[in-house]
Amino acid sequence: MNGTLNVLDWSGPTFLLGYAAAIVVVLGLRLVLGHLLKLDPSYTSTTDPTDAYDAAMILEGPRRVVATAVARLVARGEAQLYEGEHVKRIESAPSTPYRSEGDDTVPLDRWEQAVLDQLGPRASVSLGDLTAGLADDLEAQRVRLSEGGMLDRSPSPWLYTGLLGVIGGVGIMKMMVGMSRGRSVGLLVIFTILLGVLAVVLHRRHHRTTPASALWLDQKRTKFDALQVTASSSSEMLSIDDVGWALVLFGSAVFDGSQSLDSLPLLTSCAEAPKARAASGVGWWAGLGCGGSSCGGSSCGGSSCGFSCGGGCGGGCGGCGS
Amino acid sequence: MSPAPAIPPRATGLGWRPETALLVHRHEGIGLTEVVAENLDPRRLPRPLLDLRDRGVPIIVHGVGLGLGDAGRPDPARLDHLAALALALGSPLVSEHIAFVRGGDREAGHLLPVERTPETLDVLVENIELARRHLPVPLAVENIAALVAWPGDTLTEAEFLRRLCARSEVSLLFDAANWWANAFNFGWSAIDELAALPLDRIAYAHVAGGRLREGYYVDTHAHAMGEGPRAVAGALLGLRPALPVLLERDDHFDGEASLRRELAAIDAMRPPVPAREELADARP
Repeated sequence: MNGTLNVLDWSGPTFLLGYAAAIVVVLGLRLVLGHLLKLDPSYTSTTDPTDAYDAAMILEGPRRVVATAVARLVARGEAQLYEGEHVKRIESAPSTPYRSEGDDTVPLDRWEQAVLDQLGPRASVSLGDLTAGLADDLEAQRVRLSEGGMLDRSPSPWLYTGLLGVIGGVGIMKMMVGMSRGRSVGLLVIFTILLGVLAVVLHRRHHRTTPASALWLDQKRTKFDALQVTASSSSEMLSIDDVGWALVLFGSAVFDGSQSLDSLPLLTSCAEAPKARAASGVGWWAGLGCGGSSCGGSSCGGSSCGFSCGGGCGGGCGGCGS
Repeated sequence: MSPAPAIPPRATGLGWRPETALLVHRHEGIGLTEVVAENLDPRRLPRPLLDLRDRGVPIIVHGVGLGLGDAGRPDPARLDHLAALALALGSPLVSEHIAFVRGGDREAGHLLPVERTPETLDVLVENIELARRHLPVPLAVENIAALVAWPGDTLTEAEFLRRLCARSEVSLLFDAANWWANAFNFGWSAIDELAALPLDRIAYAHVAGGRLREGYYVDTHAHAMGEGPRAVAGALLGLRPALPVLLERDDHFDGEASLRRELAAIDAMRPPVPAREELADARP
């Protein structure tokens, strides 16, 4: 090591060797910790997740649990969203905690009630504040799922991203030192770029799911294929429970064409949504000659009145005689 | 591929649309469904439909653009499409309309009535036979609703359908709402004329809602079933109690509950006694 502990004074080849070794150590740490956790007997035991809120916690964490409750309240007409991040209770909402849903009445669940309590009479509350206000309940849910083997317990991906960031920082400093001394730093540049790519990939590949919860979620997605199709066409055909599941499993982008729920883009951080959506084959409805923007929806393209879509919906569906 | 599921007797169904996919999926009483052929690609079928197929729910492929009443022959590409869908979905039937939709390269943009004359019948029968030969499953043809009629019509609608069935082995898809619409708009008795139909050739029936607009009944598929279509459907089920019936809804979806009520209303129209001979009455 050229007799010095100052890595910035190391020779190029020695530094590159140490640079690569440090990266390998971080990767090894990630691997070993993950493996050790899986050896923990409690890791393979399963709790019994029951609802969309558990799915929300498993997929994306506390914020999505709160978002799910908010989506249900929006669908009930109890709350509204505006300015992206803010939730407001609708003043004229019924005082009784029940709301007619078709022929049924569905009581507010405990998360909805908790969010409503947080909203109170104030003008508006941000989603972040709501999440903070429910921190104790959310933590209890996280612990329950984690101890039940449904939520990954490995360290936050930020730990590894941080470590790789430190290594990369040292690399950049060495690069600057090298350049100031008129040395060639080409290889170090390449190493550092690769390190950055590796950090991003590892961060994005981090899953909150365990094998048990991944299986449970896959089963739910399969069960709710039809929900995704309907949610993307008509929120009016969804029950309150459907709204929650659709948001959790497929993301708020699934709510195409809805009235109140299309203001939910703030809730779209569901990384699973695009994949799930693509897997469901969105685009098939375009079909033959009915895929135009004006004809693909519920009003014409989906109807047996709508063969005339090729000509632009043919003056609507009334009296098409089909 | 497993054989196509037969439509069960007394089956009540709902047209499959994106908006109704969830209801069709989880309504235990759904005995059949129907897809609009022009909106589907047989190579990229939505998973919920494949799931229904695998559960044994009969899925009828319903075409709206073949133009069986056109002067020209049905387009082989459209027939291929119907055939491919029928095979992919394991359909028991393909259905289409008795209508003309294009002349040459010009699309009408609507299902238009054919002139009810023996000469038109010749063309229609030729086209239907050609389509039947092309399709891997039986074909049923549907009466349409119209706001205009040809001055040269020489046959009643019932007589036209009766003659059609006499000359072809095609089945009928009887649309109760369309029948009511034409009876209302052109001044004949929807109920009395039922008796003149070849009832034994009806494979299944459609019901739907509509509304009056400027003195005409318009079959919108966007409203709840009115009294007229209900009366026709009820009378038909009085004559064919086990006939499968499918509710069509294409717009103004206002919740599962209202569609469930309409489906229940269809079930309630059926005479309560399922006589043994009636159980064999379903077509095809």
